[in-house]
Amino acid sequence: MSEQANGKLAPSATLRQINGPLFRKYVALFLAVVFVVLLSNVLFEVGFSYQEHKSSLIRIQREQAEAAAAKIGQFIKELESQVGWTTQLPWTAGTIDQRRFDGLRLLRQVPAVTELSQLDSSGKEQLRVSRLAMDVIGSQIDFSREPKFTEAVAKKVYYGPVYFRRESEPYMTLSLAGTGRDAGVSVAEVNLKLIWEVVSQIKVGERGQAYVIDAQGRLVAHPDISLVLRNTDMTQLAQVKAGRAAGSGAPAEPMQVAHDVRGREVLTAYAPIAPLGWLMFVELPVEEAYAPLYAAIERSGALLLAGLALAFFSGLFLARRMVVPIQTIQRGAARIGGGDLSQRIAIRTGDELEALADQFNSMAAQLEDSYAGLERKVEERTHQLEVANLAKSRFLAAASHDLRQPLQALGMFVDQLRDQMKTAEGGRLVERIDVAVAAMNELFNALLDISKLDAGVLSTNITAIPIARLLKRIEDTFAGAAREKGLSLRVVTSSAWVRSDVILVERVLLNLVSNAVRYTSSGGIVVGCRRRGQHIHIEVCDTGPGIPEDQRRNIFGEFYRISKGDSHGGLGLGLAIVDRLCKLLDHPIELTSVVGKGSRFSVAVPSAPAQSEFAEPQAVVSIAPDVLRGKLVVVIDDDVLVLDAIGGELRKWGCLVVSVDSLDAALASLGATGRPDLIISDYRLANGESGIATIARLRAALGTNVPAFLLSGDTAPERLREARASGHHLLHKPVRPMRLRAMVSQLLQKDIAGAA
Amino acid sequence: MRRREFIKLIAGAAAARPLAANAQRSPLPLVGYLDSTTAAIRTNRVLGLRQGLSEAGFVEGGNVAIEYRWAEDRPDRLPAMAADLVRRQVAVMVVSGPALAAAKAASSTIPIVFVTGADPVNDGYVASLNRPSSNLTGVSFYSTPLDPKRFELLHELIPKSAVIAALMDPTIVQSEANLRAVEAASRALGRQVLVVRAVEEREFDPAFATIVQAGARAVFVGTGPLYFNRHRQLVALANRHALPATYGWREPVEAGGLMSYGASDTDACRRAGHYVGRILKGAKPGDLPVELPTRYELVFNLRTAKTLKLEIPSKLLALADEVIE
Repeated sequence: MSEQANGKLAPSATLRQINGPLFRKYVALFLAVVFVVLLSNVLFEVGFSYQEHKSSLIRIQREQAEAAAAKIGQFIKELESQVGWTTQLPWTAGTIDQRRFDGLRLLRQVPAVTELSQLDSSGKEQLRVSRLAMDVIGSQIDFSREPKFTEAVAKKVYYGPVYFRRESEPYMTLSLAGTGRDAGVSVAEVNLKLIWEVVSQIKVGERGQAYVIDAQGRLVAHPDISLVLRNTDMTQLAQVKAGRAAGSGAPAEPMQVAHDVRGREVLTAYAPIAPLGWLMFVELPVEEAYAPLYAAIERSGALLLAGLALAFFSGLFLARRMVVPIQTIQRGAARIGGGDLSQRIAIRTGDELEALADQFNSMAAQLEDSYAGLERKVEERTHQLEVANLAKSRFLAAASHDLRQPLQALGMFVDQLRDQMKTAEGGRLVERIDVAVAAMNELFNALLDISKLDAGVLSTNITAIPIARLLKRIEDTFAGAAREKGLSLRVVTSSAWVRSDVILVERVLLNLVSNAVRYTSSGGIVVGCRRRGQHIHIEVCDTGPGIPEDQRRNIFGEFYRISKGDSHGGLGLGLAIVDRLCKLLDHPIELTSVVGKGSRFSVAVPSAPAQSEFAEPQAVVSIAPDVLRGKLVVVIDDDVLVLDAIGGELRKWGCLVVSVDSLDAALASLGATGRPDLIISDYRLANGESGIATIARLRAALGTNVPAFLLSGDTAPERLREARASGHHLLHKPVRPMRLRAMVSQLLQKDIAGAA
Repeated sequence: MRRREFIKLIAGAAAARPLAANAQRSPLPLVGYLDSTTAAIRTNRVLGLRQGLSEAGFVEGGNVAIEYRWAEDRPDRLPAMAADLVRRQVAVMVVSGPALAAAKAASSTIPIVFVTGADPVNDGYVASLNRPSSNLTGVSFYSTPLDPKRFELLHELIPKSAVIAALMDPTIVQSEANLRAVEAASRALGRQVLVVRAVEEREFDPAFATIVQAGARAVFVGTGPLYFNRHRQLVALANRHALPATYGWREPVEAGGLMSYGASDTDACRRAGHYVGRILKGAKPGDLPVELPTRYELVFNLRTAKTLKLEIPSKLLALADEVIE
């Protein structure tokens, strides 16, 4: 598939590229349809032409047999009529010489007659003329009992059986009676070799033949005369049996396949030669008979193959035209589905596929818009939420601050009242008031903490801290309370050091243990450390009621308490503070809990190399004044989106922002804006520039050490080490606004502090 | 690549095969023709043989070769010639009647087709017309057995009182029986016959002298190879002596003789050519029956009749198959 630069997908393909299941299916289907059509056509044609061919062959063979039989019949009739001339004169008339002359003339005109004898009306031979032997006159041999006389007298004509002279020449006796009363009978001996000449000229196809069988089944005439002269017996052939069985009056039967006298397979037909009772057979070799049919089948087969080949190539072509757009759409849809909403499918087939591709394109465009819209909306909502949250926290901070005054006063009044109270009853009352005031104090402190955290005004002071110190503080704080409740508190100390803000991390641990003590009714609490890689996990384990799965996220919410009824004296803010502090310090917190057995909170704090002594923090965590307003920040990042995001945040907090994508751009901008208060640079810029080098060059150009920190999308430990080695702070992208603000505040504050 | 080489191999083999086959096929099937007389006399027979061969699908020089051996009236040469033909490994031998004996002696396996005017069974060539022997078959133009009939025809022409001389060849096979048949015919017809014998050409003149001296008014010329081969001389003699003569073949009549009745030996050779063709295609001689003629011709030469001042009855003329003017 080819892709164009503007993200459009257009169709082009080689055969190998488009050879998928759909393509093969179409080609196979096309081929199958054409094959079925062609095959059925061929089969029909062949079937019909076979039938037609066979019936026409039968017709032709039968006609040939009948024509040939007619020829022979004609020959015999001619013979008869010629011989008939000699019976014209009755014996009483005419001289013997005349008769002899008539006889000799007959011999001349009819070569088939070898001998003619004339019997008088009593059957005595009066004359015999011969071609070979001497003529005999008045022999008076008595033939009156012979069939050649008696039959001729009875039926006018007598066809004698075929006999062989000297066992090699076929002859037949033909005798005719005269028409007159006294006419007598003429007897002719007919040499049937001359019939052979007629038969041998009958053409049956290329290699077929015609032959004649007499009434006894003996071969009378055959193209191969030697078969005749050898007196071949044909009665064993199936077709001869059938022909003789059918009788002389039956019409020619349909053709059947049989074997000829030489054993070849032939198609035969026969016709009777009526007066003689002979049969004319016509035979055609089966191969020759069916040769045109086989040729037609071969032609059809070749046509079928050619048609299949054509269909195959046409199928390839057509399927390709169909499949390529479908595949284009499929791949385009896959890309869109895979998230590349800028993908467009270009198909110009002018049919439903083009409409489908257009639908996909408009769908992708709509999705793009929706996403953009959604992202915008999400941003807005988030922004609104943040604003609302911030407002809420600020309100709380302000409100609690305002409420502190009366509370402070209340505390003082309580003290005074205690002094004044003399009665025990009064004293108890005062104590209860004191407790309530303390609770209110605590509540307001907690609220203020949260609002401070939410406002992002807490700045962190990261130092190396010995864990032992933290753990001791915990133990000191809660040992008494735990003992009072009957719980065991075990704090396992450690010599490890961590990097964190001492006050804030202490606060986290104090809140966790306070919760543990508050909510555990029996058993104990264990606080310990576990080293994992570069972190130390500080764990607070209790044997409390445990936290159900579905509430685990909720417990870190504000004012959330698991059991609504029993407050155990808490406001539900402790874990909310823990949650925010952990986010601020970037210490992941983990909760493992089994309902009914207990819970374990685990805070991961980065470990630090052990140091000799711990410096107590000097500065107290305080609300940082709004140091951001009006400050000029230069942000250098080659990622436009990051520049936009960070610049937007900074502007929201009241900073002036210069967003550039390279060192040169930054240097160029300085002329217009003047000296910046803060530099934020990406760790690695375009063209291989390093953020560290960029900051250094900028500082050199400005002549002062402007506060700066680095952004990096790369969380590899090397980055941290390099950053630490360079002395710069490193924030990981994506930067949460709170952390960004904290870092910016911290650096600006330091600057101020330094300047002051 | 391999496919191309394979195709070349096949093409080469296919081309080589015809050459090899040609090398094998170059000797054509050989037919040997053995005759006791000269080629000049036998031109028509050779023509008939060629005709018959071509009708059977064989053309001399094309797909068959014929070796002719003429003994030129010296019968003693026949055995050596027959043996020579056998040595040449002829596929078939065609022989005239007199040469048959030599051929039979020379080989009993090579197929032999004979052409004769005699009755083959009577004269002992074959046992039966139907099934001749294993390597022998042939065609007869049946002239000798027709002698009585022919005599009868001559009898029609000549006044009843005249004597007819019968010139017979005593050297032919069954000559005695033949002679007796002719004599019986003459007795049956009531005609006096004078039998004169001549065994070779030198005896023709004296024979005719005898005939003339005896006062015979016509000559019945017998059949047999000698008389056939020397018919010109006989015709000349007959005409010189103004004697009407009848012959057993048409050639003498064409040459000036008066009449003849018999079958055509040219046609018999044609039929023999058919048989040679079939034997060359694989037929066995024993399966081929001996053929006899189907047509017999009565031929008159009117010019001779006019010269002889002989009136041929119109009835007889009407029965003639051919009249030569």
